[in-house]
Amino acid sequence: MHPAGTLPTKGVWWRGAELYALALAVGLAGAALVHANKHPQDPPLALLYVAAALLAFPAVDRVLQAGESVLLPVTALLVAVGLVTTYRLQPHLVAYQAAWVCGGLALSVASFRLACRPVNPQRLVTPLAALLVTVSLFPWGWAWVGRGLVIRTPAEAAVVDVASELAKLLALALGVAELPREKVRGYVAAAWAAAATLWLLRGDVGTAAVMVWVVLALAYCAGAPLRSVVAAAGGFLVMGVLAYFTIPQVAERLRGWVNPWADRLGVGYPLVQSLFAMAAGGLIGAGPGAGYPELVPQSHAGFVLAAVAEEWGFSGVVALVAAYAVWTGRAVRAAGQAKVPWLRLLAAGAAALVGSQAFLAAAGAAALLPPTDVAMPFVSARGVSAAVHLALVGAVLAAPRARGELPWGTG
Amino acid sequence: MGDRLRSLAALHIGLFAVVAAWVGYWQVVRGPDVAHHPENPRLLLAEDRVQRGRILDRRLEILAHSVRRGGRTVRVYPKKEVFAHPVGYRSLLLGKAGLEASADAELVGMAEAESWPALRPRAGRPRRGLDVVTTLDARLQREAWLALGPRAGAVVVVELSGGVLASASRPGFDPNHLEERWAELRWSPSSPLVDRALSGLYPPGRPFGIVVLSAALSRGLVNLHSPVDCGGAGSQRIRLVRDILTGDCDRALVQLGVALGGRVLREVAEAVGLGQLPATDVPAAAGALPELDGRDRDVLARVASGDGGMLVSPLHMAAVAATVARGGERVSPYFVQAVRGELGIVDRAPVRPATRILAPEVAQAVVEAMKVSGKGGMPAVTGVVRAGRRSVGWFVGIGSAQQPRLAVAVLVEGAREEVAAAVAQKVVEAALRVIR
Repeated sequence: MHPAGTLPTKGVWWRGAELYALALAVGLAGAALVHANKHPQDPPLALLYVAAALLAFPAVDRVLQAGESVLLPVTALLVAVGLVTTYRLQPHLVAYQAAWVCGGLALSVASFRLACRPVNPQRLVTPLAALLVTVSLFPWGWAWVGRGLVIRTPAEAAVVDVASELAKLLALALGVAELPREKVRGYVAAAWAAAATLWLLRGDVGTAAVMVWVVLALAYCAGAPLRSVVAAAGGFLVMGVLAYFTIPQVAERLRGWVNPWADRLGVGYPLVQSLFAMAAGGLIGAGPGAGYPELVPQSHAGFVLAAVAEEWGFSGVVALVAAYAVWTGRAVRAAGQAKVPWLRLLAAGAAALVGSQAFLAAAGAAALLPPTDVAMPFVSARGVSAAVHLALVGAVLAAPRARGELPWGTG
Repeated sequence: MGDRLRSLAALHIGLFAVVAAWVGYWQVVRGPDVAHHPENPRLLLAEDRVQRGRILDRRLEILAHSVRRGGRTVRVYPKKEVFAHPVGYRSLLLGKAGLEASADAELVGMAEAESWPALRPRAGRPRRGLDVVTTLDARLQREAWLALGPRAGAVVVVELSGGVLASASRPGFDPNHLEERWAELRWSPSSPLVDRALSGLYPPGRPFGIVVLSAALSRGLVNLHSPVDCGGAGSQRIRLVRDILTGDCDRALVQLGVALGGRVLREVAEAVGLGQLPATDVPAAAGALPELDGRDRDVLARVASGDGGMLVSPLHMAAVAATVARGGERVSPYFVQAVRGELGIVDRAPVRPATRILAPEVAQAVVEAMKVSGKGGMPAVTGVVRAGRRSVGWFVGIGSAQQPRLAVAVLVEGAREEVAAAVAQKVVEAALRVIR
């Protein structure tokens, strides 16, 4: 790889051309099959949305000239799968999802430009925190903290989505800003407190787990002793046990996971339906639009792996999981090439953020771990999540390129 | 720090490998078990995605097929009420009946490989079920339907191999408009939904004499030339056994039955299929055969006269006549002769080894007696019985005396045996034309 700052800036954009073509082919073929199977009477507008969103990726690549030829195309591949499953399960959302993707790509250009300049990352924390507080205090926002998992309106659900994404982002930003200054302990403790609050107020284990995961990954990469990282993870598990005894929603989910077949129509219902969907998919799947993933609750969001497994088969699952593995590996590689400490942490944190969510969502849908509401980044039909993670991609792409200026205290 | 980054990546990639392996276990290793779980809703839903196969007559005329109309698939029965009973119906509201029910697995294509993956639609292409080729003949069925006229009743024509050529029942219904007329049909006093040919149960009356005579001949109790006392007065009083089925000699028939005893009578009746499910591939009523061992003379006498709690369907009686006509080898009626896929025949009606239940000479003797009692040159037994408040006319006969090729049973409610005989005459003439 080229040393930072000496990357060729011309003639690299096409190196991902094959992967972009693959993403476009997957997206268009999948959407066309869904269209033929499910909505043959409607005008095929969804194909236009999918094509527009996927063609925006090479355009952004061309604009950025980042010199990283895999990360963005793999992201496009994940987005392609996401748009197809969105069209399959929530056809009315596919235009919004495509719009969120395009918006996210615009944000990624902005974050790339921002990260290439000398920036004091501490300055990112305050706006993020302010945004989180604002969103949470918005009239419907109390749903996020107040009423537990009971969400009554789509507006409330949207606010919960935004707040949850912001909280994860805040955890990441705090770590990036504070850890290089060796405030490891205080930072871990603060993130912990935030996670515990989330649990106690909402029973939202997923967001809390992702936050703690990212925090611990950052602390580990920043040089915290392995012992304390393991201890902190163990403490999180102890909190889980406590939550089981104190929070009814958590206890219910856990019971539904331990033996879903025992209460197939009650707490075990989502998992049993998810396993039915996976079994129906077999090795090669029913084909996009030809299965019954709509029988699985939340199959467009948290249980999206069940939808992929049923219609694309185990081969599709392997491809999807492999794409996440490649994404994580490339983000960590970008971290390794970064010269600026906070960008190194940011890229590693982004890898942990995407990796942890993909893993928790997949493991939850397959009953390997208790299911949480964590969305699969880029794939679940949650526009905010897609946009936030795409914005992060810009910063990760910038990590190997940014000059080695230390901006501490210069903000 | 490089090492730490590397182990961070390794941790995530390792976790992804674990989750992929776990999903693979549930999808591929345990997949078939889980997919076949009875509570998997896909099994029920998938049936709707299959383009249901056709039901055809023996000359591949369409009796039922699925047609796209206005964006949805409709089941169409071009023969309307003529085939309503044997073909049956399929409705999401009302369920299934007739061949639509009994050949369901073939029609939705599960016979190819009886598993969920066989039902699973392939991307973009609806699966086609298999066509069911019946033994029925559309022309003969129409003749039988017309011959019955407006009367309530049934006609069954069976080849000696067991293939059912016609199975008509009146009053009928139009399966194309079943859902709209359901309440009316359901509560109509003439019970149009009941298939009288297969599920209508009646006392057999004098035609049961075929069984009594077979039993008496095979036990060596009498031969065709033994004298019998027919009661009454004058020269008609003493007749020969060969005249016993004519109707002038019911007293002797009853005496023969009583002399045989309950155990033997029941044994022979069971051997020819009474009191059992008559058809091999379509649901039909088993009827009733009372327990006869050790019963007194009165009960035996009533049973020997074809009553006394014994109930049979026209299909039963057609099978009895066919058994005699086939020289004593049992005939089990069937409706499906083959199942065809897009590439040709998938399955044929199984060939069963012939079971001999009567000696050939006994069967021949019974046919001789039936010739004596027959009408219009056709070996037959006729009779009238009371079924509830109605009288029922029976005609049970064999198609052509010279060369037995088919058996027929006609039942007409509220009419005398002559009416049944006239119906049978027309039907058998048509049948002999058809199977030539």
